[in-house]
Amino acid sequence: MNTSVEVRELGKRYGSKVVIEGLDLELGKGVIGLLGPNGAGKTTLLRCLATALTPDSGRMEILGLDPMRRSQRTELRKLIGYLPQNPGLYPHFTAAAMVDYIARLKEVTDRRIRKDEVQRVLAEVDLTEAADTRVRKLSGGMRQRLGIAQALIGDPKFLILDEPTVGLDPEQRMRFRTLASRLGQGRTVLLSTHQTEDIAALCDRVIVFSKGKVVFDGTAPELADAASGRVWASGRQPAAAQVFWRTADGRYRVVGERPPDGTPVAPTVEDGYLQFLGTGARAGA
Amino acid sequence: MSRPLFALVVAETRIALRSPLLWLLTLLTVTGRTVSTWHEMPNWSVEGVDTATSALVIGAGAMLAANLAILRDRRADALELTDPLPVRAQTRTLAVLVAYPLVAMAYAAVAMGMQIAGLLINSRPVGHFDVRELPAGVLPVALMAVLGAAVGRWIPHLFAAPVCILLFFWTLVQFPQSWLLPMVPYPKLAIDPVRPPAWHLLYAAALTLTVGTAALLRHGSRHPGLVLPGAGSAAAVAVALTLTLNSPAAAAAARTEDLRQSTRSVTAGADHCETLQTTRYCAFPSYAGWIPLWRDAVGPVVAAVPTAFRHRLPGITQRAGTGTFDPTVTSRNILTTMSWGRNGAERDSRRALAAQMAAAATGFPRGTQRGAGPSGCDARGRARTVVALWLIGQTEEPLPATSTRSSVRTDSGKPTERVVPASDLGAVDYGPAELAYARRLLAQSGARERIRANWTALTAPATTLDEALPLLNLNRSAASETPKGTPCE
Repeated sequence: MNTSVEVRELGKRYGSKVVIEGLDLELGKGVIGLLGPNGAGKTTLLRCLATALTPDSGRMEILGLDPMRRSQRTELRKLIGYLPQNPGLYPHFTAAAMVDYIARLKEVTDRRIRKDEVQRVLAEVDLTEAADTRVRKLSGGMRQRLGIAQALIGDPKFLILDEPTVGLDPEQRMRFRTLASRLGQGRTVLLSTHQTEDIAALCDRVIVFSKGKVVFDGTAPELADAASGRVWASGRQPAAAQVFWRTADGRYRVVGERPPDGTPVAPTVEDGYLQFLGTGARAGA
Repeated sequence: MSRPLFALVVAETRIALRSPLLWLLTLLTVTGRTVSTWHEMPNWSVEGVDTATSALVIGAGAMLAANLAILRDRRADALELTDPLPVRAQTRTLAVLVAYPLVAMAYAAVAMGMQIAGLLINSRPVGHFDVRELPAGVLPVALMAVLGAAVGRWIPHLFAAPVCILLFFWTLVQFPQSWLLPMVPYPKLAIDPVRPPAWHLLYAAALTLTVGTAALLRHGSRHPGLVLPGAGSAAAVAVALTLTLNSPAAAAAARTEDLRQSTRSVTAGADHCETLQTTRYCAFPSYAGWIPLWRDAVGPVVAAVPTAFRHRLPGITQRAGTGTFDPTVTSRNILTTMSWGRNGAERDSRRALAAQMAAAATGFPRGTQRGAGPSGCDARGRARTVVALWLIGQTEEPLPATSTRSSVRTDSGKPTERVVPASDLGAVDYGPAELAYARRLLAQSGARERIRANWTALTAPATTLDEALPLLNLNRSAASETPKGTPCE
């Protein structure tokens, strides 16, 4: 693997609450999905990688640069594209002005290059026609795309996207998958999401993160396979200790021990993910 | 300036230039000042300072706009987006510190220029225009913009800048003559006050740099490139202030008695005097340029009075807004105020001054304006009323008498309404008949000679209109009304 990001013994805590502890991680080129329940530490990890947050312990090397060193951090920031979970966008700016402003903050100082870059990234997310629309007048999905657009400025070598498909309609999600897939060729794209379909559709590698630690690291089919032989369809509601949910046909899909009337079902990425999270992910009760 | 900083300064400048707050307040300042001064002849000694002071309204807008620019990330919850970008917050603050003061100063300069252009329309300005008042007006605007940015960095809440603005203007109102202020307004009702020296400009500029440095220090930087200029500008504040407060100008200002003191005569200081065609005109030195205007108003009235009687006519002396009335001055002089009309209002100024001279020539009590003067009296049916109105007509057409109503308290304390005549002769009432005869006289050739020939009889308080008509070669065309109030003595 051509390593872009190397994390060793990373630790981060908020007060007495440990969010990440002793994390080791290596990321190469391609699209990498980060799955995990709320509060697992995904966003904290992404913020550390984006240099928005300084870890308490451990070390990181991103694109050959050490973000702990101020001199290298500034250089590194030019190479990173980051979409935060809640990308605050200035409501009174137009879409183009917003991206232009971020481009200036990314030190794209040449006026002509910046102008071309703004047009390019807006076109990437299909916002060219909304370039002159003020942010406050954009729909939620359009704002999300604008957030993605600003992350693409400067053709970053490491793209960090925290829940990029939130608020996107199915068509836009398809477009995003195509875009992310293309971006993943030749660079590292790390995206955090709760959408297992997105993970299955576009990620070369999946990392399941829970309680500040990596509990699975592999491909999407491998994650699905992890639940092989542990996914069932049942006509009766299983015991509360099981991970299950009621499906549209009125039966129950169970991940875990076979219920008395259970019939085996082919596992999906979501099943694999739930298998790793165990009863903590119980949703059907 | 680094390229990223320059790029940001350009962006912030564009944003500031489009700030509706700055546009609106600039428009408001220019419109408000133009409207309020439209009918007043300018005195540059006053208007130069007032124009500069009005720019503080734009300064308030700049303070808010710069503050909002600094708080932009926080308001939009965008810190997460902007913090991990290569250009640091300190650079963004610096961009705001450069762009907003520049834009605000440009707006202030344009507003001041437009005000000055407005003051030049149909005007005969007096006083001394001190060019230093322009930077003295523009620099505090820059300071306010910088202050807005500094407040945004140190107290990142939306309420902070408005509170700061209120404090700024409160200080200005409470200590209007303090040279510690970055902008020293024109003292209310003062005449030709001593203005701060050029050192005060350095003080305002150094204060701006110091506040700007304080804003940057919020980012925790202790870089010598920041600390040294900061310390230098702070030292410059102290030095410039010391030089300002110890300047000869400060000593002169301390000696200058404030004309707001009620113990001072209203005419004290009006010692620039000229005698033109037997009338003596005395003005405050910076208002001497208005003497020709006064002469144009009073001269035709004086010229219409027989030569033998002209020596009895009063002179014209300018008076301040407050103070005591010296009987030795007021008995021998008509007092004119610190203002003179223009753009149509000059006719009222001319008529008021001519009317006072006409009243003095015909023995009526002198009122400085319509409805003002000693307790009102009724001059209907008297010959001298027609002569007085005819004298006024030598300068401006006389107008009908009206009345004003005011609420007064009786000796027992009960409120009652008092009706006071209001005419060109102050509080002297007259009717349409007197006005009609005066207008006929104005249109009649030979009237001047007839009035001069019969001056003593016509101006005697007892001579009735009916008795005067043959002397004036006028037919009885309208019956004069009987007096409705106390007849004039």
